[in-house]
Amino acid sequence: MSTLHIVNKPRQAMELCIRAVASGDTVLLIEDAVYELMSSAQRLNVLPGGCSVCVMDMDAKARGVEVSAPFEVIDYNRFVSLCVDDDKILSWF
Amino acid sequence: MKFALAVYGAPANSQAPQSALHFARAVVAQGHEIVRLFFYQDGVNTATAIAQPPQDESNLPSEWQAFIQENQLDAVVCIAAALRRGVVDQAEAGRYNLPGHNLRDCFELSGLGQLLDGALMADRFITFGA
Repeated sequence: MSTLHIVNKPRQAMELCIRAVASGDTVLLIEDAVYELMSSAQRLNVLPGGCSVCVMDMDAKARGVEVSAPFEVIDYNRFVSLCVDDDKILSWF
Repeated sequence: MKFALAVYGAPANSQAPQSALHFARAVVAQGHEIVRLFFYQDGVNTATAIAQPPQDESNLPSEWQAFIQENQLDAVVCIAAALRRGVVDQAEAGRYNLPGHNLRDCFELSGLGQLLDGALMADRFITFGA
């Protein structure tokens, strides 16, 4: 039982998401949430172990945000696959 | 697998309708089924027929309409959210004696119960927040 967390804004939406993330969950950053990768707050560093973080490619490119390991760059086809793989999906906005 | 999508943001001030359309296209391309699209809050502006964005920008209401019609999808617009924002069909325009109506053909005004119904019908329910 794992959950896909979709975050579309930095700061508060991300903070609320992190409070709910459990080990093994996936966090997907879309839209303005990709700015979390540039944030000095480093909220993504406090995720529990076993969590993976995915970043929407076109949203990162549109904002000039560079994505590097361990973050996975994904497209919409992979987004759909993540929804199929996880049995619950939560949006934070 | 059955998907239901909710869109909470308007084309002019949110990326939600754009992201949801990218996602919906990928869902269909992978052979999954979309059992309900629900446009709520500012998302109801996606269903207007009289918004005219500049020609060098994407016309999301038009793109959504083409996608919905091509795939014969069930697209519901929250009636309470739509009426307060001036998105009305012919029946509502008549009921409230309004000077015009602007709901695109492929959309249907209905209640919030259709959001719950969509979530219950689908294996996966995804919200695109404003």
